[in-house]
Amino acid sequence: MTAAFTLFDLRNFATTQPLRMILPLAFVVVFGAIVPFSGAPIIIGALAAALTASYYFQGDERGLLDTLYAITPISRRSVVVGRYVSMLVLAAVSVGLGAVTAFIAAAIRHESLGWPVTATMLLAAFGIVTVAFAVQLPWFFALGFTRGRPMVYVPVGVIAVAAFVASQTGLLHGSVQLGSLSDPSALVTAVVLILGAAALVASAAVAVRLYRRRAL
Amino acid sequence: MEATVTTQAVAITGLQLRRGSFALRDVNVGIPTGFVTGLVGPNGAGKTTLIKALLGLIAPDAGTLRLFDDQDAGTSAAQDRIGVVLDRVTAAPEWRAGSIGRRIGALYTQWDETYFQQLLERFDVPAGNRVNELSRGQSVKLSLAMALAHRPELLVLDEPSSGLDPVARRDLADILREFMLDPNHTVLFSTHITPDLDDLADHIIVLTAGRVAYAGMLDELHERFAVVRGRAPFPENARPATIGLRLESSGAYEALIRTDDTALFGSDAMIEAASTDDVVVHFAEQARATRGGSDPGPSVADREEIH
Repeated sequence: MTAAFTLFDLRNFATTQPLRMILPLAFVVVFGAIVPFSGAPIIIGALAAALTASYYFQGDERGLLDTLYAITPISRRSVVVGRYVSMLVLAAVSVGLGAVTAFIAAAIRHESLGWPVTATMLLAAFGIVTVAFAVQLPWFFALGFTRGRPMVYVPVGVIAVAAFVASQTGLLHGSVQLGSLSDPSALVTAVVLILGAAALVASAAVAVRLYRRRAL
Repeated sequence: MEATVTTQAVAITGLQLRRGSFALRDVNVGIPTGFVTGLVGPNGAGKTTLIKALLGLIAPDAGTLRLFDDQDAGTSAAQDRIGVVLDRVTAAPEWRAGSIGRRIGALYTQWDETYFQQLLERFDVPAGNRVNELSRGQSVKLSLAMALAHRPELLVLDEPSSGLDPVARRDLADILREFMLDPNHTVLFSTHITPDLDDLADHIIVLTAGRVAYAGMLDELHERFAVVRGRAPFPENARPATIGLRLESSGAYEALIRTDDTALFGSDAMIEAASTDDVVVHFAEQARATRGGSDPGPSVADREEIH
C-alpha cells in the first residue's frame, strides 16, 4: 500500500499542481546556469526541493485529501512513509537536474567539474534535503498545512545557516577554491549518509506517531 | 425452530470523546445490519463527531467502536468495507470526475473502475468536469459513486442532503434504497432534515448535547412518544414525565411525553403522535433546559434502557 500511495502522491502532485513542480525545476536550471560557482546548481536543486515541501500538504488541505486517505483502507503509516518516499523522489529529480545543469554549465564555460566538487555538492545537497524534510514533515503531518505553516520558513533558515557557514569558511569570498576541494573521504561520506538516513527514519517515525493522533 | 438474530454492523460501547467544550458522553448504541439507521439531532449535537469516531478520524478518549463484529474502527480491514459520503467531496478541486477512479482506485483493495464509470453515467455526473465545476447535487452523487465503487457493506453518509433540491434528495433516497436491496448492506444516514428519513429509515438514533436521547426502531419511536398541546397552566403532576416542555408567551404549552403518560393530561389537552421532528426538538429542549447544571442528567434512553 505504501508503494501505491507513493505513486498516487507523485501523480497527484504532478497533475494537480504542475506549475508548482515545473517552476522550481526551471528555477534550478536557470539560476543554476547563471550562478558562477561550479556545482552550485546541485545545491540550488536541493534548496528548491526543500522550499517546495509544503506544497504537498497545501494540496491535501484544499481537496480534503487527508480525510480521503483516512477513509480509504490505507493506513496512516503508509501515508507517512509513502509521502516521505515521493518527496525524496522529487528531491532526487531536482538535485539530479541540478547536477546535469552543473555539468552543462561547466562545459559551456570550458571548466571541468571534477568528481570531488560534484561529490561534495551532492553530499551537501543530501544534508540540506534531509534537514529540511526531517524537521518540516512531522509538523505538517501533526498540524496540517495551515497550522504548520511557520515550518515553511525552515528551509530559509537552513539557507541562512548555510550562507553563514560559507562566509565563515571563506567560500563566499572566494578564498576557498572549489576546484581545490579534495574528494570527501569515505568516512565523511558514510557519516553524512548514515546520519541523514537516521534523521529521516527518526523523523518519519515521529511523523507516524503524530499523524495517528491527529483528528481529521 | 430457527431464531432470527439481528447482527450489529456497528457496536459502540462507553464512548467518551471531548473536543474543546463539546463532549460525547457515555454513548452506548448499535447500528443493526440490514437496516437504514438515521442519526438525527440538532446542529452541534455531536452527529459528525460520532461519525468521525466511527471512521477512525478522531480517537475516542474512552470506549470501544467495533465494526462487523470483530474489527476496530479506523483499521484498514474495516475501512475496506465502509463507503463514506461527507458533506464535501473528498477530492482535489482540479480532478476531473472521470479520472478519480484511476487516481484513488489503487488505495482500495477491491476498487471496481468499470462500476465507478457506470455509476457516474447513471448519476448524470459529467465525467469530463472538474470537481470544482460540479453542482452541489452532482458533488453528492460523485461522492456516492466514490463510496460505492469498492462495493462496501456499510454506507456512512454525513449530512448528504443539506443543500440539495427536492429532486436531488429523491434521487439520493432512490440510490440508497437500491443499495439496501442486499440484506447484508447497512446505511448510517446523518441529517438534521428529519423528513428525509421518514420514508427511508428503519432505525433511528437521536443525539442531543453529545448523548443518545433515543435509539430504536423508527416505528416504535412514533408509537412510544406523543406530543401534547394545551393552554397554561401546565399540570404539575405531569412534569416528571415530560420531555422538553415549551411554554409560549400566548399561554399555550407543547410537550413531548411517553404515550403511557397521556392519562396525566385532561380532556382539554390535544394529544397526537410525535413526529421525528417533534422528538428531536423536545429532546434538544430538554438538554438545553438542563444544561445550566454540569450534567444534563439521565436521558429517557437511560431511564428506559431502550438501547
